[in-house]
Amino acid sequence: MSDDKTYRIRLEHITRVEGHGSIRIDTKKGAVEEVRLEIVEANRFFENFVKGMLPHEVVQTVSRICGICCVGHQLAGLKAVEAALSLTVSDQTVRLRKLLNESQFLQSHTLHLFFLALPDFLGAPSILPLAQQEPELVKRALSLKKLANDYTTVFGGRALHPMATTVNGWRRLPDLAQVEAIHGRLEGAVAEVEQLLAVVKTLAVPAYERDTEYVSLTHPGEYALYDGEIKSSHTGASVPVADYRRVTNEFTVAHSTSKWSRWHRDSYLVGALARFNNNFSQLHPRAREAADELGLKSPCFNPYHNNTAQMVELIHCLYSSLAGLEDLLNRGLVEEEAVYTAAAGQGSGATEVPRGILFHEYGFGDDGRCLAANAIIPTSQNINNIEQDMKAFVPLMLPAMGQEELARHMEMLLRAYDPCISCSVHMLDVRFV
Amino acid sequence: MVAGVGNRFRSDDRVGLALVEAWRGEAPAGVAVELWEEQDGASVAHRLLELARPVLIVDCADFGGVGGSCRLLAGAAIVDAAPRNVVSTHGLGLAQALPLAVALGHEAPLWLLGVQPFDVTVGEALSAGMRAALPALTAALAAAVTTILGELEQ
Repeated sequence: MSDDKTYRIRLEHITRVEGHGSIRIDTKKGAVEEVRLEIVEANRFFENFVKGMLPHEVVQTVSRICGICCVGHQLAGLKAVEAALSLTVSDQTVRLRKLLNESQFLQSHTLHLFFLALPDFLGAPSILPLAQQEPELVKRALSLKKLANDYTTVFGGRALHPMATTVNGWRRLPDLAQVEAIHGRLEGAVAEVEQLLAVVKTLAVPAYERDTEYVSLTHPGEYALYDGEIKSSHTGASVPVADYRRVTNEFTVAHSTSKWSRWHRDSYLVGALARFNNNFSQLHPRAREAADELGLKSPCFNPYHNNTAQMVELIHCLYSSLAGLEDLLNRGLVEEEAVYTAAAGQGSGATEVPRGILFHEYGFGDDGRCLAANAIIPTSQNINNIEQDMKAFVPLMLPAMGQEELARHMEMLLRAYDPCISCSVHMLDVRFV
Repeated sequence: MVAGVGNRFRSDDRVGLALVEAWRGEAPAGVAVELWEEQDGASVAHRLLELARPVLIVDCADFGGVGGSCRLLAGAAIVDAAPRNVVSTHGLGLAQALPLAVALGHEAPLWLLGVQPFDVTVGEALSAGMRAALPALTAALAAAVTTILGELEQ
């Protein structure tokens, strides 16, 4: 380090994110020479694992791609498989899947916002010192995480890699007494979530903006988390999920084992901020109010505010879940046979997961077994955009920041995206015919 | 309270569950037994705070020992053994859950009986080595409980 702004920053292992990524920044006498986000994870090969499997085996297997987005991988996989087999699931199945998905959002956003990102804002190296510094805050977040885990368990059979949902229905319907208990606990959590919101309101979010393309699902009838078409903020228009390859346009760069994506611009952003920007008016009214209280306006071009948008979505999912659970209790549940006939076909599906839009596609042969698969996760779509943000941030902030502060902001920026780096690496050489 | 932790589908990772299941018939009066399966670190930390009582956790743990051997850690030694800054988006592990519970005010004594695995690959059965070690490990668990009860009485 020198005081003439000649820096060589090497952040070889970024903590509090999943997987391995390195940040490399070189500056010389105040001029930026290089900024790179290197992804060094090995390929995962899930698309090859599932070849030869039957549709219901495929969806249980791909759920294992991720330990935190396991619900989302299952749901996107189910939708793709059902599209391939031309199956239309019942309204009850869709309602239950939406609740299961919201339980995952509550789990994941709580974990990321309060256990992984918050230490950045409060100047703690990790959750453990933060727990000593702010025990009541961390206890509140811990209780919410536990509640969200239990919510997933009621619908999915277990909190991690749920087994209850399957092709064309449910293996086991949730127990209504347990649904009622979760509803009561979520009602009780409203005040707790307001307390967490009060903390998020106090956080100093770095002042930085870069207009980019925001991509998310969009749906005419609801804030799209489970279903919809793919919307671009650049055009304001949407395209069907079946056209997802026109969106992702994956390509490779030498310094990343994860593929990169771009659509209309050099890069695009997916995740809470993209959903917030594209579908703000469909958030629950309390979530919109909370956004206002947080100073978050749509469109927001500050990627650090992805964390703030997660808080807004947390509130949305809480209220949406309360309404959905109440509706479920009023309607009751009907046993439906979850059967299907394995057959040839090809289909794609998408759902929003906490980190952004997730695409799955499968092709099945005449024997009903999987011939080809593709899964494009949110982080692989975001990597390019993160690096573009870093490239814009460093020259902008270099005059005002020293090496340590710059490095801290770069880590914080990467973390704000809530990346899941090891899941982002997939290898695909497949032709759907 | 004695709590067995583990994953039944990762070979020796199930040893905490297997040991507690094998021993629970011998549990002294007043010693509760629970199996914490399919629970992430957040749930474990939350349960410890709920319990607010002495707990011995039995789990598979890689401490660099010989396969099938075990090590009893108490209080601060567990917290000191936990990595500090490696929490990932895939959740909190047991290694973070215990110090987290302590940081959040779990004041009751805490012990960890860690068992060195031979194999934690996917599989529903314990490894042959671990199966052979089970009688000695069950005896070690019983001895640990006796020791702990003695310490608590003092």
